[in-house]
Amino acid sequence: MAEQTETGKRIESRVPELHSRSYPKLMRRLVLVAVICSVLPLLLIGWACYLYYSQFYVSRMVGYFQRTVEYNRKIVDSFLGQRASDIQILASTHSLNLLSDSANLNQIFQILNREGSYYIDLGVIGENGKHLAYVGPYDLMDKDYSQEFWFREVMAKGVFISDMFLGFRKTPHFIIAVLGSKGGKPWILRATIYPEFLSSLVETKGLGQTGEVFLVNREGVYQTNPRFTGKIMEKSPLPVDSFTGESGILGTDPIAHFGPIAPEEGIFNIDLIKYVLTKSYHKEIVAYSWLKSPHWLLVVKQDFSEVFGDINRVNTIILILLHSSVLAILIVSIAATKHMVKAITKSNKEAEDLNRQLMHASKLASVGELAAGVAHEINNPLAVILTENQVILDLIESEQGLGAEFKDQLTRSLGQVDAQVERCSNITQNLLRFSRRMALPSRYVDLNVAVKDVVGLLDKRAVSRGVHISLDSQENLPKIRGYDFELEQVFVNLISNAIDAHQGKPYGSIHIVTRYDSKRRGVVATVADSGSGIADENLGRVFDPFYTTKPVGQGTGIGLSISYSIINQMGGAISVRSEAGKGAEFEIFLPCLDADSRDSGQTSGKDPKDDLDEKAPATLGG
Amino acid sequence: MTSMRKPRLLLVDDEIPFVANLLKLLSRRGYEVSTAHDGDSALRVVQEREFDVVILDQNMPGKDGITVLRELKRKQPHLEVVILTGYGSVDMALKGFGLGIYDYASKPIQLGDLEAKIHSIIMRMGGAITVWSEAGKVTEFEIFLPCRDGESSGSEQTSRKD
Repeated sequence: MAEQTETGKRIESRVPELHSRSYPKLMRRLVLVAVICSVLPLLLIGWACYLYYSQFYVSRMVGYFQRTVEYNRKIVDSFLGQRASDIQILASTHSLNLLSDSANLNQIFQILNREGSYYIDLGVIGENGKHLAYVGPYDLMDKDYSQEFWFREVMAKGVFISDMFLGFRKTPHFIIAVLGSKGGKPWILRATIYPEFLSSLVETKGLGQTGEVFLVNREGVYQTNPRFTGKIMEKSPLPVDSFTGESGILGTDPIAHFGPIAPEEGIFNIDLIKYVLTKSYHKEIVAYSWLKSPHWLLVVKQDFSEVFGDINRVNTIILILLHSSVLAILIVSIAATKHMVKAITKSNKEAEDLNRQLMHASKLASVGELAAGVAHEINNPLAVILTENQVILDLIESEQGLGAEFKDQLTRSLGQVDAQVERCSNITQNLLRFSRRMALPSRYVDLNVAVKDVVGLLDKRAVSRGVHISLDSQENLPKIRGYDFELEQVFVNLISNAIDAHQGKPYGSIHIVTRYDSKRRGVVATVADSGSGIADENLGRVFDPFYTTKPVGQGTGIGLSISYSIINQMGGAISVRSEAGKGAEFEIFLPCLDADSRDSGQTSGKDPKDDLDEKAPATLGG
Repeated sequence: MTSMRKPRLLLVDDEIPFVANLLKLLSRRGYEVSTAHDGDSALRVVQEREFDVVILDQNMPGKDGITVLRELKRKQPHLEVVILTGYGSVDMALKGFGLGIYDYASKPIQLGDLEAKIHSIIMRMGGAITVWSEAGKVTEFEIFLPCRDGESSGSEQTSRKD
């Protein structure tokens, strides 16, 4: 007994710990597992894909720029090379006399332009710097070129391709001049090429809205019309000194160029992903390549935002998707975990409740065995006492010499022995009934009838103690399946206890209510008293066998546990609410198992089965 | 008048004072009482002599009441048996009735109740009980059973008088 109670308490004291501490811990652990197992791999894969794809895209774009710049450079190089060789062949195969003749020169000019109208004009200039012959739209026959920069260059080098310059005609152009030596004195064959032709060579095709291709000379002066950032012959903002090597790709910051900047601030070697990831929309990508002759720079340029805009948009979408799915996983896993922990908590609580009930039941069972043993053992000596009593009674009757008073007293005492043995016998009967749990066939019982009968039985006793019993029963309660005799015993126990609880009080009241509980589908009876109540520390033990607070000799302590087991057997529940000094309230709930029990309870005619049930146990139970 | 004799009872119980007291009480009330303190000696006694009623305890050292009952009934199916036990249960009672006991009672039992059970057996066997009473109290009674064939009429009236 004591051991069981201790284990019971130990288990109960462990329970709240489980509730308060380990569930949040469990929750944290489950969420962590969910995050590690789903979010982390997703993020890793997502970021890896993102980086890999970005890198791939950037290197592809860089490759494209390299190819574009090389392609354009080759076209410009070969065009200029062909034009220079045209003029060189002309100068080396024709004599000065032939070329000095305007008609001849005109004929040659026509032949040269037959292939394509590259040339604006063609002139032969003598060593004094004056035209010997000229074919072209300008009036340049009287101009003196001896002081011009290109004149000296061509005299020194033999072949010269100039940068764009205005010259005497005051329009941007460039020339190819070749020194001829046939005929003794040096002379110069000079051809001017349409600058528009150069511009038309470099394509901006496939470079989007912001792309441009142009040529600048070593000083950074535009040799072709750029698409956006200026005009031919104007100075380009590009820091040409930074374009080292034959070719390359740079990132530039055009805004930075408007101020006096150190090259490293505005120019950086392409560090592939960095630029893509920083999304600097004012930056440009610049691919360049130096021409062989003249030493011009071919530039292919496009805004970062356009080149990498698509990939940035795609990346943004990917990242948003990635992070929102991470968020979704987190929310779902937290919600699922919460739900799971709630379910676990609930099932644990149910298991605990069941455990407690089982523990109580097993306590009752083992106590029942003990009680049965005790009852049986006591029955034998009681039987002996009864027979001894009878022997003495016989003796008294047959003995003649006894005084009448003595005989009378002896007979009364022996009668008292009989009565006490009877009382003991009743106790053992009770104990046995409690332990036996006989499977009596149940029948339909009216709760109101049982309560009314018991109240009638105990009312006198209550009144004699100054306790008033009031009964408030709901009419037409559905009948329940059970044992009327035992149900009455439960009410006898409860009401007697309620009366006894008024010990030491001059008056009091007991209020009994019966009603139908539609939610739990059953009938409920409450017995509330104004007695001394039950102290908190005893509240959990009132249904334990042999537990009593009554003085020794006045209670066996099995009344409530018998009640508990009877109600339990009928599938119901008994509970108690009490506050020390303010009375106690016992509630009995008994389920109506049959769906039609309410109807059958209301109809006046009885189910024939009822009658059968009612007769059968009468012989057994009696 | 056919020859009459006293009804013969056998008390089987290991509770010696109980058996001794009952022996005293029932002998005085006109029965021929024999006793046994365990199942084996009870079976032996039944072999040796004839009985009308056996009052049998359930819990005894050695064979228990039900086992003894089974053997008794096998040997003498017509022997009437009343089980009187402190360890009563419906189960056991039903088992006993299944094996053909006449009645079942649990200890402690008032002598009057036990006598009533025995009386009803005697009546059924064709016995006669004559009771004299004075102011609602039994003062004297006679109880006889008819002798069976070949039985010596050890008929001897028993009476009790103040």
